[in-house]
Formats: sequence, structure tokens, C-alpha cells
Amino acid sequence: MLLTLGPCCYAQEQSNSEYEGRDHENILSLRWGGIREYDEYLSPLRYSGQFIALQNEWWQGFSKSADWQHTGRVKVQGGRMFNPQYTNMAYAFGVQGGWGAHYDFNRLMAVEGLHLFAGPMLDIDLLAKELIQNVNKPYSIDFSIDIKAYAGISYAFSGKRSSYRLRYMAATSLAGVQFVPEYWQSYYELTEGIVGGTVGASHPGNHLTLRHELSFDMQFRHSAWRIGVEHEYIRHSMNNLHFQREQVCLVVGTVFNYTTKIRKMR
Amino acid sequence: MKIRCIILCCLTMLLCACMQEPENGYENTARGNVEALWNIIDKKYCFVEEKGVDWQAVKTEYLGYADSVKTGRELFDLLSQMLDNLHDGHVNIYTDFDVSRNRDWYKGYPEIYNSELVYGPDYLTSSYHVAGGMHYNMIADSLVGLIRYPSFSSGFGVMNMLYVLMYFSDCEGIVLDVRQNGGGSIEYAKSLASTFFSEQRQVGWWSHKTGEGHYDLSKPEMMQIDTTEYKETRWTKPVVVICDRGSYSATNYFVNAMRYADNCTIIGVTTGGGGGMPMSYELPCGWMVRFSSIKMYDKDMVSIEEGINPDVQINSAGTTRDTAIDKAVEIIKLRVESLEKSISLE
Repeated sequence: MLLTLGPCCYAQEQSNSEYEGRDHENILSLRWGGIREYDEYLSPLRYSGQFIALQNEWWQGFSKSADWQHTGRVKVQGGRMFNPQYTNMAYAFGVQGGWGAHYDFNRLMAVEGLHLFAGPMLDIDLLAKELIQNVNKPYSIDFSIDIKAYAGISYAFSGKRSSYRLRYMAATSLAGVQFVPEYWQSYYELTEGIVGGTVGASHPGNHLTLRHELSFDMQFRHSAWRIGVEHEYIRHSMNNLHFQREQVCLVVGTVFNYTTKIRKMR
Repeated sequence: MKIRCIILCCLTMLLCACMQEPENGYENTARGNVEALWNIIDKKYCFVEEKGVDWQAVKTEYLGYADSVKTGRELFDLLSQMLDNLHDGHVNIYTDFDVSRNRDWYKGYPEIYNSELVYGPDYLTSSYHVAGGMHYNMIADSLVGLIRYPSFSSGFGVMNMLYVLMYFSDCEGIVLDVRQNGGGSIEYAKSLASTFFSEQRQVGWWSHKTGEGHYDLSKPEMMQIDTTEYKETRWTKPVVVICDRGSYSATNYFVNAMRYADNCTIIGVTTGGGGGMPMSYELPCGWMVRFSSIKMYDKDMVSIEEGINPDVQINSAGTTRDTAIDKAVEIIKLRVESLEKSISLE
């Protein structure tokens, strides 16, 4: 919060005409929902359970072009899952992050408040899993860095008492790198430095990610709130091992808009 | 109207994204579990060929029994019997009510360990010292230090070893007793072995399964004893390791490593083996199955799965005195004498 309030205060202090404004949007959200996991390295059984996540997401315009924006996000999540027979439990902890830039096609839109945007994003996904009952092979890690294409549409409108925004965003993986241990390699070997063959190129044929989110923002007096739903599906394979993860969650968050003023370059 | 269409399209895409996962599992029936277990061993176990079992015939035989299974315990017994064909102590099924294990792999070898003797007045005595997982005391008129390491599930630290070596500083040699040590952490085995190495040295090779074929194994990588971690603790005087058929898994690794240590003699009985690093997997019924998937070899690329032969064979435990420990003390005395002779000749 201090990080977001800082620039805001700075913006209020500066009123000189030599400064120009830049709009920012920061969304801090809590996510809670279900997770289904298939990790062939750990178990042939599909685990399912619940997870909770905290995500910070920001949007900001480029100073040089009003039609371009960049966005980033950091998400920390943890979950607990069970196998279908409830004989084993798995914990999962992960971090996701990304940064992307998109073009806003709002000039092409005939409808006031309607924005259509699309662009590339560099994304990182890390999820560590531990099976509690496994004696000799309890760990597995999903790790990938890839370029995603993302696109979205948003529509802002005003009601009788407040203003609202409905937004849908989708992202899918294009290419990158991913980590998968060799077919039946132990993580102990990896700690001993035997890592050959564990990192490979990823493409839609061996790594598919689809992430999309539908959100609704509402203005309440001086604050804006978001509710939404997010769905993420990741399927990847390498070294004869197959993995799938599916998460659906409810999103509740605050939307914080502010303007920073920067000195004009002469 | 246009807006509604866009929203409808978005929601349709959201629902379509809930893709159907491909079905690749087995049914949670007796037959499904027998098939799943057979496939796990066939594709992931690294010793199918080495065990000399007609694994295809095992499938035919046990699928025949599957239809008559009525209860969970009957299924457990059936799967346990199926795995018994492998005669491997590293192959187990873990359930909430029992753990299957093969009991035959250590039979047919001399039993040379008697804890009453080892912890009796002639050796460790009842006032033995404990440092981490090590039980130790001086024996043979304080000429020799005896360390009994009952399980590598118990660890030790640098300070533990430092105190033990300080206590034995006036001794002429150390006897390391790992009889009936069924294994545990390979890290503790490596740390203990490193005390007796003056420099980093290769002690073997290992390779893991890379595919579903019985011979799909990775290019062997070197196994080394690293001497940098425990550099404060070094023992350069003679050491004798006593092992028996109950020395298994991580202890098997330890005994193999000690073959390449400075000034070391291995005595006792052929170790139990378990030279594969075990991994776990699950059956459709949720039970855990454990099996080896990483093969270990000695420095000459000979598999250590079936055990390691000692330099000096011991055939009995002894009735009033421990034959193996007495032999170890004798070896240390001889080594010291020969060392003194060579020094006097120089």
C-alpha cells in the first residue's frame, strides 16, 4: 500500500505545468477456489483441493504513446489437495509473475467506454508440490518461462449512482522454456548436479496455458472494488511425463487508480 | 445488443476452457490395481531384467487371481505376493493397515550379529557413548575405537564426528559396525564415509530410468565421496567395516564406498544389496508402491543390487565373544605392526 500511495502523494504535490500526468491502475486481489492437478511424476492419480492466492496487478500507460500500455502481475499461491481415495495429501506452493505490453484499439471502437487490447507477455510459473505420504519421491516442481499472447476487452459505463467496468482477459502460451526431470530421475540427482535434459523448449505442442479472467469493477464512493472469476489451465509434457493443472477461483480485490506526474522532456 | 453479444462470447469461451482431461488411469478394481502395479514395475522399476523374472507371466498369473478378490486385505495379499516374485527388499506396498515386504532376500547367509555381545561388557558395554546416530566406546584395552551405527535413518553432524575422533585420538584404529543397519539416508552414509577419505574420490556410478523399456537408462554419472563438507574430521589410521546380510540400501552404498577408502578392510558377510535408489508411486486404490528406479554400480560398473562381498568372510556370531569384532581388532593390530615394521626398515 505504501508503494502505491507514494506516487499518489507525489502526484498531488506537483502542480507545475511542466509536468504531465500518467495514469496507473493497481489491483490487489485475493483469490480462492478449486485446483485439480495431474502430475505423472508424482502420481498417476488426479489430486484436487482448494487454493488461496494473493495477486498484485498493475496497468500503466507508456509516456511516448497513449495507445500503448504495459501491465505486470505477481501472484503467490498455496493449496492443499487430496487423491480421489483421500489416502494421500499434497501441498502446493507457487509464484507466478509476468510483464507485458499491449496496444489499445479504443480508437477503432465506435462505442464509448469500450476498449479492445492485445499484446505479448513474458510469464513465469513456479509451483512446488509435496506429497505427504510419499516415502522416497515426495517432491515435484513445475517451472516454466514463456511468452504469452494476451488480449482483452473492457467496457466502462456509468449507472445511476456509480460507475462500473466489465473486463474479460485471456492469455495463452506461445513459446518458451520449461523444466521437467527426466522420466524417472530423482530430485536428489538434481541436487547432485545431474541436470542434463531437464530443461527444454516449450511450444503449444508440449506446453499449453490458457488463463482467462472475467471481472467486474464497481465504484463505491472514493474506492473501487473488483469481483471476478479466473480460470487457468496448464498442460505440459516432456521426457515422457505429462502434467495438467486446472484452477478456478473467485476474485475479490481493490482497484486503486492514481496519476503520477513526470517532467516533460524539452 | 453488441455489448451483450460480446459478453456472451466471453462467457462461452470461459466455459469451453474447462477442458476434459484425458483418461489414462486404471479402474479402482482388483483387476485395475493388479494391472496398474504390473505396469508401474514393468515401466519404472530398473531391475526387471536383472531379477530374472518372467514379468509377463506374472501378469497373466495374477490377473487370473484378481477376479476372486473380495476385500482390501485380500487385494493387499495378492499384490504383495505378486511383488514377492522380485525378491527385492526395496519393493513395498504401503497401506494404512500394513506394509508389504519381501522376507527372503537376506535368508541363506550366516547370522553374525548378536546385540547382547556387542553391547555386552567386552565391547560397547552398557555405558557406551552416543553421538548422533553413532554408539561408540573404546575396546581392546583402549587400543581400538568401536563405532556401532544401527541405522542411517539417524544422522550426525560435524561436531558429533569431531568428538568421536577426539575420543579415539589415541587409538590405533576404528571398527565400524554396520551389521543389521537396514539403511536410511544416503547423505548420512556419504558423510560417514567421507571421514575416511583423504581426498574426493569416485566410488561408483548411477543411472536412472529414462523411458518405459527395461533397458532405458540414462548415461551413467559418477558417484563421488566429497571431502569438502567434513574436512575438519579425517581418520587416516586403519579402519575395519563389519557388515552382514542385514546391511542394506544406504548401508550397502556405504560399504561399497568404503571399499575405496584409505586404509580400510571390509569383513563379515555379503551385504543385503538394495543398490537401487527407491522411488514411490500410487496405485488406483490410493496405496503407495515403492520400488527402485535408479541403478547404482561400483567403480567397475558392476551392479551393487545383489550385495557386496567382504574382503574377509566371517561365518558365525560367536557364543561368548563377537567373532567379527575380534577379527577386526586382529586386523587393526596386524596393520599397525606391519606399519611399524615398514617405518623401522626405513
